[in-house]
Formats: sequence, structure tokens, C-alpha cells
Amino acid sequence: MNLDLRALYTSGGVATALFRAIGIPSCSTRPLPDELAGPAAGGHHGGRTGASLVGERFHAVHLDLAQAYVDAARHAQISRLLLAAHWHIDDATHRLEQARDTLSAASDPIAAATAHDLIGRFATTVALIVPNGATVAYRERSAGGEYVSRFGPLVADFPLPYFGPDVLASALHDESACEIVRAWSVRPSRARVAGLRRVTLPGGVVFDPSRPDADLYRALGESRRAVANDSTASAVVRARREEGVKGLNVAAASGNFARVDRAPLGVGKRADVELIDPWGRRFTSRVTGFVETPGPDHCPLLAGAVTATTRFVVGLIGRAVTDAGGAIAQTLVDAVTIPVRRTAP
Amino acid sequence: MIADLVRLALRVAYPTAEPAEVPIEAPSSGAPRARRRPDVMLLAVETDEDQELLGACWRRLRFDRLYAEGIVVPDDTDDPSLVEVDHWVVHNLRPGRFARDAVGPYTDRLTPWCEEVFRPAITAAKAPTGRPVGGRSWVMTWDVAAVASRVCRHPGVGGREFYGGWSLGLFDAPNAPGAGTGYPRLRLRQLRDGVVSARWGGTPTNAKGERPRRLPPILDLRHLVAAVAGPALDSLDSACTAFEIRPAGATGGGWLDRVASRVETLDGLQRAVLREIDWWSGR
Repeated sequence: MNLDLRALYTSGGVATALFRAIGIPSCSTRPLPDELAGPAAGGHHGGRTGASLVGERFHAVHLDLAQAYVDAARHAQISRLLLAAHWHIDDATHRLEQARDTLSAASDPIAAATAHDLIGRFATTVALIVPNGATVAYRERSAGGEYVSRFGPLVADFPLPYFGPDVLASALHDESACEIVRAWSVRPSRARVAGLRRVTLPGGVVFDPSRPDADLYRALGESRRAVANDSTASAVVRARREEGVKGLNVAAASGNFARVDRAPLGVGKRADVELIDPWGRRFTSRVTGFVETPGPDHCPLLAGAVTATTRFVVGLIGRAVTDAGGAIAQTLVDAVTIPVRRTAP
Repeated sequence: MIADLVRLALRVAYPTAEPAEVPIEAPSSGAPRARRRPDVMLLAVETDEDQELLGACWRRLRFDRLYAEGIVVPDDTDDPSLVEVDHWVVHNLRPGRFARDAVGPYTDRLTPWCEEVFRPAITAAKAPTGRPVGGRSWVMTWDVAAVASRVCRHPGVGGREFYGGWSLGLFDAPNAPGAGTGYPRLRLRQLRDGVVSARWGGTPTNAKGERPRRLPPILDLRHLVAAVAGPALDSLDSACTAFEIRPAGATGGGWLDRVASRVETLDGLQRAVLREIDWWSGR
């Protein structure tokens, strides 16, 4: 990939340069209909993370999933969407209900999720659900006005947007079943977008988008391993380059899809911006301070799919731990902490 | 106007070669557009570990020929060697009175020092990796944000001047030699969460109503390093360690020596980062 120094400002800049080098079009050229764009944005921004903490002082094992975002993007088949000429949208309400019920009834959820390819089938599914006390991640506005991430039983009188993996993960925790009001599935067309080009990634890994099995995120994972194991470079150089490729990978798998650019408005100045609510209704709001504009690859659908997938994987791990008689002290988007022995306070 | 510049931590604007002394001949109008090179603005800004402004120098080229150059001294320096410069600035620097010999002992040192500072920058701007950078300007600094934060903290300036962008007022002197042809301003548009968005600011028109051609992008080393080696390298020392650069030591106790050693370190780091970008690009 031929990097342009003008784009090299952060890892995200490198990821943007990589996308353009491959010929992946900007996500702004793939607008979703409002009825889906609203829930996708709401599902992404409303439930980015879920965290819970129990106990006071304990020894613990902290499992931080390596390459979590890249692997999530790979299993969520984000690469196929990026390389596709078109995206197809269809109704997935019934399929999602069936998958949730299947997972809920499974004695080994990990085996069931694998056997039914639940991540590949439902990562880019967006649903409006009435939670009915189901355990999901959500954001709660604190008394100070700031939004705080929560994870637990949620009750609401109206439908809320969530991604498919979040709906599936709720089936891992308890018997409360949410009501799936409607679900949309976004699938890639078989045809690829025109103008795709082969690129060589750091470490000499070649990514050829014309191959039927082309997967950008598998190639990025291989690139990181190749850099880390490059016997021709010193240990210092290997460590430096692996960190660089790691940043590129995270940006390509998640960060760039969530990127927004803030432009300050200046003291006393206001601007009218058009927004979309979680139910797909557009409205105009007057803002002060700054204006946010989407980055070139901004796509809440893809950003939310990746983080929801990591949450689902963490949920599967947590379920396996609790089924084995253990407990979960803390869960994050891509990590889980398991207490192993309590100590004296 | 100059008093305003002083409060903006800019003490000396010292063009050593006035336009009249360096005849500039533009390529003929029939020359291919790509060969008609516009102005080159090179700027080196240095800060210390506490993000205080150490100093800066700038050089302007037109059609690859030196057009003007100058140094920037922090206004809160306690370096006794700069007393004479300070005295000159306060009492003699007025719009339209940029005297070549006004900075006394620094007269002989300025051009060689700027030459040393800008040699790698000029090389980089032309062909750092065997090809054009893509722009014809180069901001050679570890952290543009650091410079901005220094300005932001300055009493009397604060958020009022920074909000919406900070102008490097050095280029704003309206009556300085060459100013009429349009001195650009460096504007920091955004400074949040460690991310800097900087661009060349509005450029005034000259007496003929002309504006300079489009100015090239701005980069700083901190973000170049983060782009190819991860955001954990958030200090110059850690970046030098990761890129196997040994920081240069100052050869003397003067301000110019300290800044020059800093620049030498950044020069080495910049070359290493450009080589790394070449590696990423498969060259």
C-alpha cells in the first residue's frame, strides 16, 4: 500500500489509506434507509460497552481477548460487506427469534453458536426490541447529566435498538426473553465493487480482493503475526511495528467506522444540524460548541456489529465460566475478569 | 501589532534576505503547470519536555530559492544571552523596520543555523523517500499541540485567541518585507483527546489582490510516530527509543545550542520515521 503522508496522522489515517488503496468505497456511498439507519446508530451509540463489578478485593484472572476487534470483524464478515457492490436488506425478525431460542435452549452455548454460525449470520442484524427485563448493555444518564455504561436487566415500555449479537447474548444470562419487534439483516451482494486492487500489507502479506475467499481482516491478522515474527528485524523494530499494525487493525476493524470529526463553532455561534433518532425519524437541532461530521468510513452499522460481536463472545465465555461453577467479576467489551480466590479484606 | 506578537510568545521576526536582494524569476508562462513551483514554507518549532516553547525558525523559499527566514524566541525566556535580542525586539522592532543587523551577535549565526535546521526539512520536502512528500511544506516539530498548549496557557491570550484556531502571528506582520505577497498563518483548528487538526490559515491578498497558491498539509512527528508505531509512544524519549535514535546533547549553554540539539534529535527521528513509512509502503 502506498501511504500518502497527508493521510498519515493517526492509525485511523493509515486505515483510511489502506481502504482507498484497496479501492473500498467510502461508507458514505452506501446510505441505509432511515428506518434502519436510526436503529443502527442508536444500537451502536447506546450500548457500546457493558461493565459490571462484584466483590471488593480478590485475586482474579483477567482474560483480554487478543485481536478482539479484528477477529470480530472477520467472523462478522465485515470484509464481504466492504468489498460488495451492493448491500441487501431483508427482514430477519423470525430468524433472529429462532436463533435466540435455539441458543437459550442449548446446554453448550459456545458449541451452538459455532454450529449455527450465529455471529456470521446475525452480526450485521439490527433489531428493535422491548427488553422485558432481559440482560443487555445500556447507557444510563446519571444525575450529573453524563451517560454511564451499565449492564443488566432492562425494562422499557417502548422498543430499543440493539444488534443481533446483543439479542443473542441476552439469552445467555437469564430466562427473561425480550420481544423482538422488528429486525433487519444487511447482507453483501455476490458481486464485488468495481476497481478493487491488490495490496501488500506490512510484513509482506498480500491481500487480493479479487479472490472469492478474500477476507481483509484475516489478512490483517496475518500481517500482524508476520511483523511480530519477522526474523530479519531486531526485537525493538518488531515490537514497534507490531504496535503500529495493531493500531491499523483496530482502526480498520472498528475505529474508522465510529469516527466523527468535531469542528469548533466558536464562542456564541450556533449551527443547525440534522439528526436521526433511534427510530429512524430525522429532525433538526440547534447546537453550540462544536459540530460533529461523519468520518470518511463512518458507519454505525459496521462499528456496532463489531463491538456487539465482541460482547457476545465475552458473554459466551462468561456463560462457560458460570456453568463450570465460577463467577464473573467484571466484563468489558473485549475482556472478562474471573475471581479465583478471595483474600482477607 | 508587534506588541501583540510579543504577547503571543513570538519575539523575533528576522528576514535575512529581502525580496529585493533575491531576484525571483518565475518560470515562463508557457512552462508546464507542474513545474511552476509555488512558495515553500518551512517551519521548525521546538518544545521541551514540559511542552514549553523552546523556539522556532522558519524559512520561505520561492522557486527553490531562499526568500526570507527568521527565528522565534519564547517571550518568557530567562536566557541572559538573549537580552540583547529582547532589547532589540522591544525597542526597535516595528512594522516595516526589519533590519538585517539588528540582532547583533546572532547575525552571523542565523543563516548557518537555519541552514542546519532546514537542511533535512528541505531534503524531506523535496524527496524524503525518493519522491515528493505530496506537499511542499514541512512542519518539523514533535508536537504541534504542545506549542498550542503553551500559547493557550499564556496570560492575556488564553482561550480567546485559541478558540477556533491559533494563528502563528509571525506571519501576520502586515508591513514586513514580503508580507504584502501573503504570509500564511498556521492555524490549529482542533486540540482534543491528543488529536491535532492544523492547517494553514487564511492568507491575505497582496496589493494586486492576489492570493498565494494552495498551501500544503501540516504534519507533526508525534502523530507520524503514532500512525506507524502505535499511540503508546507519547513522548519524544519513548519514540527515540523505539526508533533507536540517540538524543543529541547540547554543545553549549546558549539558547541556540539547546534548540539546535533538540532539532538534531528530531531530524534523526524524522528520518527514521520516513524510512519506516517507506517500509510500510513496500519501498
